[in-house]
Amino acid sequence: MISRLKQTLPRWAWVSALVVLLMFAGSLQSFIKAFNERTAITESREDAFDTLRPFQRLQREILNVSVVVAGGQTSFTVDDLQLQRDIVASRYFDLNLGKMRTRLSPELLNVLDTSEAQWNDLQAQLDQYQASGLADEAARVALTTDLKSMELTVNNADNIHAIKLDQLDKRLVGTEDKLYEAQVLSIFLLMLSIVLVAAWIILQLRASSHQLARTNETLQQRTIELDQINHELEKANRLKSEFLATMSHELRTPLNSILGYTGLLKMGIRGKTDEEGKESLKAVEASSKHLLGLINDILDIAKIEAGRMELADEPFDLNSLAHDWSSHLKVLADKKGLEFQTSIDDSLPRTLRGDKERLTQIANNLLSNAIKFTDKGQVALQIGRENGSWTIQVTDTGKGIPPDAQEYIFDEFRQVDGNYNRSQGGTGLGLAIVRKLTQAMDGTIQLNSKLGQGSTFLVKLPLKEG
Amino acid sequence: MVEISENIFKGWLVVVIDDDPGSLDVASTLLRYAGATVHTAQNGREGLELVQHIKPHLVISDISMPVMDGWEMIEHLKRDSVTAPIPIIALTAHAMVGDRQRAIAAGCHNYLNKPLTPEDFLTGLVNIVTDIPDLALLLNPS
Repeated sequence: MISRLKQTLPRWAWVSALVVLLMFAGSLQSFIKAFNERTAITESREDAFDTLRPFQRLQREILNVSVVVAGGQTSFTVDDLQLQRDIVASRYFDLNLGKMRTRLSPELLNVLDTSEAQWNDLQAQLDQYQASGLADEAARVALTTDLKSMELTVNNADNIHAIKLDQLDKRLVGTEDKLYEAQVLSIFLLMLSIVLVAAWIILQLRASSHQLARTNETLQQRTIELDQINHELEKANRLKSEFLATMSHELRTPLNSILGYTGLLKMGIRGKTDEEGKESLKAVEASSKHLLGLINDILDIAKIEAGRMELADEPFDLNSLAHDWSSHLKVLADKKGLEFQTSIDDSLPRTLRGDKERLTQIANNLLSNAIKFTDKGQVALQIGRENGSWTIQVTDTGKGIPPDAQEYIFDEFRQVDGNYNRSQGGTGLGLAIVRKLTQAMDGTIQLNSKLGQGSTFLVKLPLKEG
Repeated sequence: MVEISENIFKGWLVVVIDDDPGSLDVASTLLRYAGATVHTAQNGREGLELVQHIKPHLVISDISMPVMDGWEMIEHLKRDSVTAPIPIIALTAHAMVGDRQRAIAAGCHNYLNKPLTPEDFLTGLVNIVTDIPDLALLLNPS
């Protein structure tokens, strides 16, 4: 995952992610620091209030003592003064408790100790004033003055607290500002991260759309190139077809004259020819027909290979077609003294669909081959049925085809002896055409042969009822 | 199958058009042998003029020819009401798929494929002519 990101992320994205992360850590740290500071200040304020309150109570009670002293015997009793003195003493006791004293600053301790010393100094005078039944006028005046001075001392505690609280408040405001800044910075960094991620996504999208556009362009280029190649191939194919048509025409034209004049001479229409000459003319005619056979076969193969073989898909009567084949070929078999058998599977439909001419070409080639290579015995044509196919099977009792030859017997210009010669007559293209035609009709051809026992060619074709 | 006799085309006027001298010579010799009066031309233009001039019973023509080819000549002949009824038989060495259909579509009555032996030529011709009622009546079986 990380390594994948490393590959996909650009350097700037890594750098900015790192910077944002560091800044975020910085802002977090300052936020924590400010937060801790605020907590500390708040605690100090509470501490200050804690020490302020007992001083204020002390101040109030000292004032009460002054009131009782000033009121004198007309307003108060001795017990009143004594009660008030006890209250002040208990306030000093509170302030001098170990817990409280440790929380007081040196200035406050100074206030406490100074005022307590003044208070202690007053005790004798107060005792004397009480003894007078709160009636000693001179003592009252002196006490009032001293108490006043003591009040002033205690008042300092107020001032000290006020100054301290004021300082704390100022610090608190500063800390709040820092907190606010840290928050703002965090929000800003968050937004910055979002912007960076968004920028990265946009760049990625742009890059991939660029890539897509480039791929599209390449594809279009390819399509154009393929179109051109296709066009050129079509042109080449057309030229090939035209060449074939022309070649065929050019070869057939002189052959027409050769066959024509040979015939005229044979017929005696153009001059007289003796018997020996007529034999030669027969040879010329045979060679010409052989040449024509070759031209036709080569043209057929070329047409099939060029994909220009147009197969008809017409209904035909199977029985009459098979009859045509056998009646035509039986003549050749009879000439060699061979038995010729024909059989048709009764379960086959009478009418099938296909290319009658090309089927005849297949049957004729197989049957004439069988007759050609069989010296005694029989040649059989069996029209059969096999699942979804119908079959043309040609069996002979000839010399058979050796196993090695069975592999190349369907190649052009090859006969059993493996040489490219015409020792057995024929064009040497018959089986090649049979195989190509069978394949063009979506069929298959099989050969079974044993030396000395004969051969069986089995053509299987898709069964299409007419 | 009609028997070929020396006089089967006796009294017939036939125009043969072919740019190959050998083919032209063989075809006209055979037709004369069969009793026909034969006029020959070596290209479509000559053939057209000849046919328009003598109005034969039958035209036998090659297709690929210089000056004017068979297709153009046939077009001219079929457009002219005088020459349109004259049957034309194409005799060509073209053996590609569709050539036969093209010849028939262009107005040829039928089609013979070169090369032909004299026997095949005459037999084929007689078979074709037998299918044309007006001409079949003119045949002279021996």
